[in-house]
Amino acid sequence: MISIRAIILMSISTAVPLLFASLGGLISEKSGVTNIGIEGMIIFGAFCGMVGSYYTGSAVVGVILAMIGGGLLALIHAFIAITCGGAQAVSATGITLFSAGFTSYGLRLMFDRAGNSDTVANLPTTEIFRNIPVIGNYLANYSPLVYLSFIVAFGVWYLFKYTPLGTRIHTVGENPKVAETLGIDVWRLRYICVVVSGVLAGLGGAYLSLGQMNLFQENMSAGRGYLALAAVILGRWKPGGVIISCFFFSVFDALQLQLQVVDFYGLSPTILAAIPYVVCLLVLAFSFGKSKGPASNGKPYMKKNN
Amino acid sequence: MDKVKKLINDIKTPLLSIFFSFLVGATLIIFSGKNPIEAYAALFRGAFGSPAALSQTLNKSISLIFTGLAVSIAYQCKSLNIGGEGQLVFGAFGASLAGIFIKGLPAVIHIIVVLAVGFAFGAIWALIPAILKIKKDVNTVISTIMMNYVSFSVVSFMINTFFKASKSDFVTMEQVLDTARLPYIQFSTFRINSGLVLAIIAAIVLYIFLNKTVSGYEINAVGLNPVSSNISGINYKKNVLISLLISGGLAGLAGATDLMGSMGKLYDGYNPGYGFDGIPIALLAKGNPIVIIFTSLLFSVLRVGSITMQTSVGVSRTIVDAMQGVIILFIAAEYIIVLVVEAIKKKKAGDKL
Amino acid sequence: MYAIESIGICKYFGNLKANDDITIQIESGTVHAICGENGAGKSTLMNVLYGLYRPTAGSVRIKGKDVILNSPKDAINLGVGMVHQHFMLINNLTVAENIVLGQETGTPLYFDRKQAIKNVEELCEQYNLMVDPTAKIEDITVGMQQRVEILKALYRGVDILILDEPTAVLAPSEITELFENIKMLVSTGKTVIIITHKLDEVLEISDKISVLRLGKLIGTVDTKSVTESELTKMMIGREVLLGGSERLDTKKETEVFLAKDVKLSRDGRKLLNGVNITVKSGEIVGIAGVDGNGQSEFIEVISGSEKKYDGEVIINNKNIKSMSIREMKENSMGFIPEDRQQEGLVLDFPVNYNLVLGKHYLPPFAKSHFLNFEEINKFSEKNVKDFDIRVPSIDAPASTLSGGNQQKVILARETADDPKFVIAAQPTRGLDVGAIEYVHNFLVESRNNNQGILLISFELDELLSLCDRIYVMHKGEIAGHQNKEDFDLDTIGKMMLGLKGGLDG
Repeated sequence: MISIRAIILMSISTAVPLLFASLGGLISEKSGVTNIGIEGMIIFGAFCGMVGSYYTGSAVVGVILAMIGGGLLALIHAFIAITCGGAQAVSATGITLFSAGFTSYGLRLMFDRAGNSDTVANLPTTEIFRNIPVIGNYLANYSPLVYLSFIVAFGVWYLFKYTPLGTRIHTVGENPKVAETLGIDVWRLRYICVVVSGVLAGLGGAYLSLGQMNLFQENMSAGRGYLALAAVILGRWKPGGVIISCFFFSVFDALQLQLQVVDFYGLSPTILAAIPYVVCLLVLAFSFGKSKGPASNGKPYMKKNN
Repeated sequence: MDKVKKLINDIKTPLLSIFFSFLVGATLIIFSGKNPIEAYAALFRGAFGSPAALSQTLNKSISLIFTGLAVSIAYQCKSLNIGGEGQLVFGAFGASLAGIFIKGLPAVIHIIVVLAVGFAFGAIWALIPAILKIKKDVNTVISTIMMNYVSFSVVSFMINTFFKASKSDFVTMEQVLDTARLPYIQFSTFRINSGLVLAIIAAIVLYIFLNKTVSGYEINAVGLNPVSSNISGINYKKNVLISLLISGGLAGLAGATDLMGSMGKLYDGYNPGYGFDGIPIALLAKGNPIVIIFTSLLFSVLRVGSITMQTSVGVSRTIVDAMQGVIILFIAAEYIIVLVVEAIKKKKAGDKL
Repeated sequence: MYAIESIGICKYFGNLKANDDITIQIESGTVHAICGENGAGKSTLMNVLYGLYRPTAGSVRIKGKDVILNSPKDAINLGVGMVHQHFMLINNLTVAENIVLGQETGTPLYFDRKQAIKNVEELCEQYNLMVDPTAKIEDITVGMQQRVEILKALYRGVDILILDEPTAVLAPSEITELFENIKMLVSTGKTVIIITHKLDEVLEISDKISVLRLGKLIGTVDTKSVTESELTKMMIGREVLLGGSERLDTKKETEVFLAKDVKLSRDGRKLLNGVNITVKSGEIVGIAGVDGNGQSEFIEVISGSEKKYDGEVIINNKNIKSMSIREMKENSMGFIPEDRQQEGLVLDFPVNYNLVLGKHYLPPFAKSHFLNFEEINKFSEKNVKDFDIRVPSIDAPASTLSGGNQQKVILARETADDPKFVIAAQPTRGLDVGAIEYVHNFLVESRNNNQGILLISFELDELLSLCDRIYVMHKGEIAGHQNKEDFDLDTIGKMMLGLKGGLDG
């Protein structure tokens, strides 16, 4: 029997990596830099999280390392996309392939085997919620990263709605020249946004290895980075829309996981795993009208100075 | 003299990208406590050390040439097709069906039919991303990669549910008929699959197509400036569609030739990674189909040689995946290489003073 | 007392000397005009004064002090503001947001938009420049947008204001209004620098004039002591008569173009609202109007890239509704698009490829799907010679050509098979005087050659001198129409603003 309750509860946790990644992607794209390398930053973050936890025994250190790892990869992407004015899709593809290879290599180096790492200390659940009546037991079962992702979601929404910084990021993504004439440092702001997107993707990765699980698996991001970017498109580059899109996809992700559990008509897990992607492609195909991103998204801004 | 200069200028970035990737690879090897020189020596020995090794390297390059060409023609029209892997798997699946179930044809005809089916299946798999790009302006990177996951699932499902070979320990399809197998050309200890000839022909045909025909002109024009092209009466949608369908078809051929040449039957879980290799192969060659023949060889050297590197020196072959990413990064950041070259020039100029 | 001084400014881009040893001293409380042709170096100089470019040599002095400007921020802090020719506004933000951008009201954690609106209202009050602070930029007129730009500078407390070609996008009466605003600003002690190539305006508004030519300063003069023809000589080095070759009598018998009640809406906004225009062979028909009144959309419709219109467009007796762009071009039509780099050429293609763009599939350039390079090159060599296109070789990328030569490539291509009907959209935009002269002559000769030409331009002078008839477009409608013998600047100006009286005149 398919349990609706199980799907709902699970879709909250499957939404977490998508939320981190898509909000990161949103920030980066709003500033005018596409970051298709999010997928690579998630897997790299997941790996770094495991490494941090493995060597220190502290999952918190792992999470911090995951953020640093994702941020560093994003810094490379930022350098290529912003300073070099290179092709952003190409750079991002390089990042993703590099992370996949590097983490597989690192895994073999550390544990001398393929597949997955040893188990490591993961984040405890949020027991402080346990005493809340009725829903306390549900709330307490989630990782603190779940709540962090909600806070980040609120923060990004607030950033673009109410802060001067949000308006400036919007400006840089729409027309960097305007920003420049107003004394806003385009490159600096774009660097910050891209690196933040990497840090968030790293957090998404940390959730996979240290929140949902307690180990690292090769390719454990399994395309979530791309799903997250699709959520940005579906959400029309608006924080609220992006957040809703994430939950939309996460429901289907939870559904397929649930179907695997109940052995749905004997369908193999592999075909069920494709459900979120099929849904995503269908939604992209049938969504109304062309989706329009920030006007200068993906276009390098070269400084004419000196 | 100018031509030489131009040539040097053209290959500067690719060569330095390769150099840097070996440098990064060496760093990773040192990290694992191994000697990089020893490891690379093993790698090249594994790729060239014996006639058998060399044959294997050449045979491996067949599918790589096809995926490189696939990435190249799509990128010519400014779509980055990173879904070559899914198209390849689907192409192999189609070829496998045609190789098993179409019976009674003479070998030459059967081979042509199976190749055509492989091409068609690959092309079908690129059709959806093409439509999404044309109708909704969805980035092909996102749509093609999603199609990868769907392809793996669908093919796996098909094999498990409908086409599982009965007498086999593994989950696999039946062996394709002998009339659908690409024969090997053997002289002394060299054993080269005839697919290599097909791949080279494909490269030459694609080169002519892109550079000498009206369609090639239009695909290039759309890739370089879709607005001007459209205003001049060149149909944007048609050309994006054509380039992506051919791209998918070529990736499908990579799967088909792999099946018809070396494998013989399609295993569940087949995804050899050639589709992703196609990206750096095409970028290193700057999209030139003839040059792709050679950049494919480089990657088949890495792929084949890394097995020896792993077994004899103990450096995991996954390092090649990381190096592949590094090559792409350096190509994207051509600017760094320009900086390096200028720094060297300046230093030289300084020495002269 | 000088407000701002350029002392021996040089700015080189590679081998190009955009500014070569330019010294101009601008007195405070005056209007100082910087004149010169396109490419004379005016904008480069202003970008140096505004901190966007760093000079190769020389220095900038503001209020008597040597300064180093690393960015516009530095310039703004020193009281220098600039209104660019292409407005620096974010279309989907409000007027108030645009004005305070970079100096937002409130705290870093809270952008106080109410305060911003209040500040802007006060500023409007203070300078008597009225705008609606809550309107989005995309919803207000070009004249209003310019006002927002000026307010943006004033909000930053600047007292030296640089206006780059401020009249290019305005209707005549809006220009009058702008000049009144400039005078008002000067009366409050501000210094205004105005960059332009329109001499009548220079003479009307400025106190002093500096003339640049080919990156060099030709001289600075008092406006009172100089005449228009003297200025022309300074700018160009010779006297030029624009207006094209001699006009021959033509038989205007066949109708080559007809737009009947053309309507177009996008996202619920009416962009074209029943446009009726005819063009006959042997005449140049102009469409005048302020930028943004539906001209671009009309061009999209009649050139075949926008098909979702209502009404009829007939070119050479064929309704274009169901025709592809290729079929339209095969039907004896040429199209010179507005933006030659983005719409007219494939810049990374060599010149010979560009010369056959859109005709590449036809014999003799293609034979059974293969390109015939021999024929393509023969055709290219001939056109390069006939049109005097300055190229290193026909294999050189089109991006290496100057603007004028790029335009010649398009002219050559679009008129190669003597089309009966040609759409020329702003064919002289951004060209220098020599190239403008060439294009004007070419258009008139094509007309004399019995071709029908539809000329869309924002330069009223150009239209008045070239056209046989002029339609005026306002808010997606034809606000009026005049024949050559009745041309009257005042009436056309009124029509451009949609004022009454236009239609009767």
